[in-house]
Amino acid sequence: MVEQLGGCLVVESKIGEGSTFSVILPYAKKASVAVELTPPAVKEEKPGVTSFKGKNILLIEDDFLQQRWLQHRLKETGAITQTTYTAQQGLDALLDKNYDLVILDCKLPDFSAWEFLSRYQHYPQQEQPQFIVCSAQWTKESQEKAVQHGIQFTLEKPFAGTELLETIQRALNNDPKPPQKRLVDLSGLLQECQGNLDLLDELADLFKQNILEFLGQCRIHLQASNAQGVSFAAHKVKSSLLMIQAAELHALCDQLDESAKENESLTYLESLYSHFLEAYPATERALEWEIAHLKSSN
Amino acid sequence: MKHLLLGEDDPMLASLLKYKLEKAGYRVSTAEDGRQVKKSLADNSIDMIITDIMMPYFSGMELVDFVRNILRSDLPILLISSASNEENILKAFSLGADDFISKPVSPSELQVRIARVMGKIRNPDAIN
Repeated sequence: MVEQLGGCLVVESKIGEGSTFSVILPYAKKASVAVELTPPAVKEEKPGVTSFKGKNILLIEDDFLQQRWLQHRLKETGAITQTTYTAQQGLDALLDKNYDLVILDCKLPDFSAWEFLSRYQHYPQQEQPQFIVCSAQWTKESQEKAVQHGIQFTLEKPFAGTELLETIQRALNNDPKPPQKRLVDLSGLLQECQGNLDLLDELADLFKQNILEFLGQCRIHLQASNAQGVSFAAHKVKSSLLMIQAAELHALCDQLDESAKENESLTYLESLYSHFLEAYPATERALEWEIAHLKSSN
Repeated sequence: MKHLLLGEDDPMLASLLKYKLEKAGYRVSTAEDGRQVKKSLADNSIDMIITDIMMPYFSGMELVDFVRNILRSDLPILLISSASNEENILKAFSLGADDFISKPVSPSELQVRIARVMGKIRNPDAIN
């Protein structure tokens, strides 16, 4: 009955603890396997809005709120979206129709995105769509898995509409590199490591430790209004940033170091520190991506 | 095998330099702050000190002064410093440092400088 309603039954069982049965049902009435949302023919997309008119996009997402938001944003672009709630329904939908793009959530009720991609490899395919995998937390392991499955486009939840549209645009154009935004460059360091990826991995971990230490020390010095301490901490971390060619963060630390030496106001130093805090996560992700790519190509 | 004492409080840089120098045939001991560098000097097998000038507890400058004027040793000392630290570099030379290398440190340049300070540049195989 659940299947006839377009939903699924998920069982999680642990020995000695018991079983959890979950029934997932879509809100909309089942049309085929998936729920289709086609934008009204008369309604033109808004001027100035990115256009994916006529592109077939499959959304595989079990979070209803996220689904609705994605459908809303994509509807504005003129894309034709279909949504499934489980990974199996997504696989079935891919058998039924050719899609230009699949937006795939990492954790689905029945199985993961990686299991989905492994199973999809064995499906008879005519034209392979592009995939964007979304996750609330991109760990080192999940990034490596993404690379192993040939995934070039990812999104970290929560993401903004502009980031979503930019990533879709790049995926549809098959352009994996974000324009003018190379946050790290490991080529020089890899050369110094004589191609030793284990050493590079170890250095990347030490880099992250250095950053954490810098952030902690800098905060303590800022709270104590100790400009000299801020300058010392910023100065120290610069060589680590240079080693991975993190130009943007290096420039920020350089500014923090110089400004602290010149006794700029504490508010200004704090704003530079906040700027660093905001910019750092993207750099760490880029670092992990580069390493995962280097590992996969070896 | 020549024994180098590497004083560097940045574990990332220390790790890379240790790897490169060991590959080049040196034995490398590391120290993560000035106090540890000073303590490690009790090891008589050390042939050369390579240390960052800005180290916690005991700076590279204080170390040069300590080695030359307290220990009265001519142990070669190479300082790692940022290029903008000219005043300190000049002071370190006047205190008796043998050479310096600026950050970002190129491991290859460091190897050449070590060999030169040790007077082995014409015969690199002699480091072993």
